[in-house]
Amino acid sequence: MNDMSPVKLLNVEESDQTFPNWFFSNAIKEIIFTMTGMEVTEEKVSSETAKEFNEQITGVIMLVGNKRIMISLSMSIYTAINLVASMTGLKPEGFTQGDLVDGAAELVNIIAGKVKAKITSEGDRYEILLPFTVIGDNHSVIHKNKTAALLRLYHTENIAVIARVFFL
Amino acid sequence: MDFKAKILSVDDSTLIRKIIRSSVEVLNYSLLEASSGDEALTVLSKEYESIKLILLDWNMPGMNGLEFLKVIKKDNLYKKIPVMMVTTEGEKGNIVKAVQAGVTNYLLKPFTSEELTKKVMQCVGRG
Repeated sequence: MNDMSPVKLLNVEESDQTFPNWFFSNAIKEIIFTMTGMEVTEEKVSSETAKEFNEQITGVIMLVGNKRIMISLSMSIYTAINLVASMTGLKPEGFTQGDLVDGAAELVNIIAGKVKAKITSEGDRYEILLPFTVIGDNHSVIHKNKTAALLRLYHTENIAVIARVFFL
Repeated sequence: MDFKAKILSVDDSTLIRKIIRSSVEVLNYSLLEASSGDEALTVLSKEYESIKLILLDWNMPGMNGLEFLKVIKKDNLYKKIPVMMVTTEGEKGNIVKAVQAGVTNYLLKPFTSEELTKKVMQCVGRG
């Protein structure tokens, strides 16, 4: 199930890289499962393939310590509705945009918490900054001179989430 | 009038408060909500006599959860209300700080409704 072998990273500073990709992907899969009950399939995607997805809501969070780590989760409104419905157990009819925005932010917040717990247990010190959300049709999360160290699609029949991790 | 015993959820996430609400109502408590420490202090000033438990996030805009905890534990009217941290903050050193500041229980996000219900019942003496 979980690939425990460190995967060579695509980050331009990969020689400085401490955290293998499974470290993040395990956290993302575990949080989605615990919060929604959905067991997601993970697929590697390229930056070009990722552009084919309609990214309408993106939750973003930063961890700041020895490194600066940015984690983002991008999704369509359809996915956000299904995620929030599964997380709350509520019917989606009454959801507002605020609920969906909050859902995306809370998911990255919880993932960052999981990542931080793992990092700090190994002796490093990190702080989590407050999450924020970007909304709008077909936006992308791009850094001007960094490649995402992790770029993955997590999906089930009802959801498709693009996760990116940057070391800034 | 609402004579149900109350639980106060202090969390800047409306989503988390909704998740908490559905679990708390199953236990026959009514939920009061605050999205920040300052807002929670206002709610406490009016409702402290009926609040049986405070569920407290750590990372919030403005006063964080630990700062809020320290404020209420210094207040004679509020200090007896048990507080459970419900947070992503799982760093050992911070958990110790919360316990030293008087937290009764600690629940890490993500949590299932069963875990939340069990810990709430422990805190209010029904577990």
